[in-house]
Amino acid sequence: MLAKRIIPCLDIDGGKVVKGRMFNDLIVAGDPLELAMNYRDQGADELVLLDISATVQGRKTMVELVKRIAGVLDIPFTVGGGVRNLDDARAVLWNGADKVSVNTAAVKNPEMITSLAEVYGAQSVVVSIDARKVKNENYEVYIEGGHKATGLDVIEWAIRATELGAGEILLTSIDMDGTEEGYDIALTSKVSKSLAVPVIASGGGGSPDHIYRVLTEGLADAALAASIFHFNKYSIGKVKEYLKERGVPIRI
Amino acid sequence: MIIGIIDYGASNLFSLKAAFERIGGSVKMVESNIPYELDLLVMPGVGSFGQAASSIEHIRESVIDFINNGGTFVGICLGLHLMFESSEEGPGRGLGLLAGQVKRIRSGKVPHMGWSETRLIENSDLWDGLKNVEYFYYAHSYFPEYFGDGIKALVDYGEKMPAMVQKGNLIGVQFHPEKSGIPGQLLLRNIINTVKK
Repeated sequence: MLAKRIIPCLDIDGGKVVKGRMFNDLIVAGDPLELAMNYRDQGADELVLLDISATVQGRKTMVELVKRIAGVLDIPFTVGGGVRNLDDARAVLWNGADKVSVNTAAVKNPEMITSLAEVYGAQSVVVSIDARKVKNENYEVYIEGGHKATGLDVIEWAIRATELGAGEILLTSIDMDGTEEGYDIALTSKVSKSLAVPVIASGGGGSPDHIYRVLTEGLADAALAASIFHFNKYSIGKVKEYLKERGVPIRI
Repeated sequence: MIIGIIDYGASNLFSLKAAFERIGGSVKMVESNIPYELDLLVMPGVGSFGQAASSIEHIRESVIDFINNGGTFVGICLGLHLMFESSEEGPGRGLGLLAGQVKRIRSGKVPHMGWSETRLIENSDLWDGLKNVEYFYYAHSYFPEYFGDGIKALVDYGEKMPAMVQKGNLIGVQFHPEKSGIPGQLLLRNIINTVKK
């Protein structure tokens, strides 16, 4: 039986872990290496590192950081944020990431997904989609850190991305991000039902029950969360126990 | 213990190297020649079959010689697929060490990605210290349709797939021990121990 995955996420700016709300208002949440080791020991099923720094200097420190973290992890490791081209992807994959996550660059240049999948295999290619609710229960794809609308429909783009070679979709609800009020269940289930690849739900996870709901009603294969773990509101172990007691297949 | 990891240019040998070093192995990257002092030769598991098959073509014969001379060979994930003759994933030939076809996964979401319960079906020294059912980490879209000798563990993903094969000096695993936390580390340690015997 395949277990549902619990994935802590580290948003990195200038070498530090930060956490925002609805893609803004950053607060510093700690040292990335320390948090990575801590989550590994708590039983995280995977770790995601997203570079959200805006400066060139920040990006350079990122590759170094990937290497340091990869050196201490014995669980899968996904890195994204600011991956603009094949060279950027190569830099993170050659420094210890197992998967690379692409967002803005994939929208601007969809063939990039295919090139990545051909070289590294689909299982190493995650397409990250930032979704904002628009009218009639539809969702629009936003890029550039959630700041720019694309006019693309989330479901259509997700299907296209998998046809191009994405092995997994990391789906973030911009509306729920950082609110800790729960994942967007409707969005997640809609996307998951439309795809033949795994979906990682992100944005809004604030309690074990939110995670339970997105993994069951929301049909997500994995749940990503940041704030609830960073600020020690819940340990990963506690969340996993909660899920297991309710019959969710979980690795403990 | 000197462990050679075949580098076919498809990234992330970093994790595998780090995992072997953590348990006291000394790692050499193998690109063209196979150093004679190797105790163990590992075919890692990243990339796609077609690309990997063409990248290993030039060392194919030396790998087979290493094995014929009694060297222990370990294939991980795609490395397991390369132990077979061919794959639906792409053109090119594998090492042909085991007879069978590598097929696309036919059930569930593909890739099969994440931690799956893996069941030991026949005793193996590679499983020492592990429970009969353990979680290991998988990330693959293809699997060898192999029902021959040496299947030691299975994973059930809608249909049963070989998770670990051990036949003489050949070892193949579909999961990634280097990404499978403590059970993974134990398995790698057991692999090293079988070579020492």
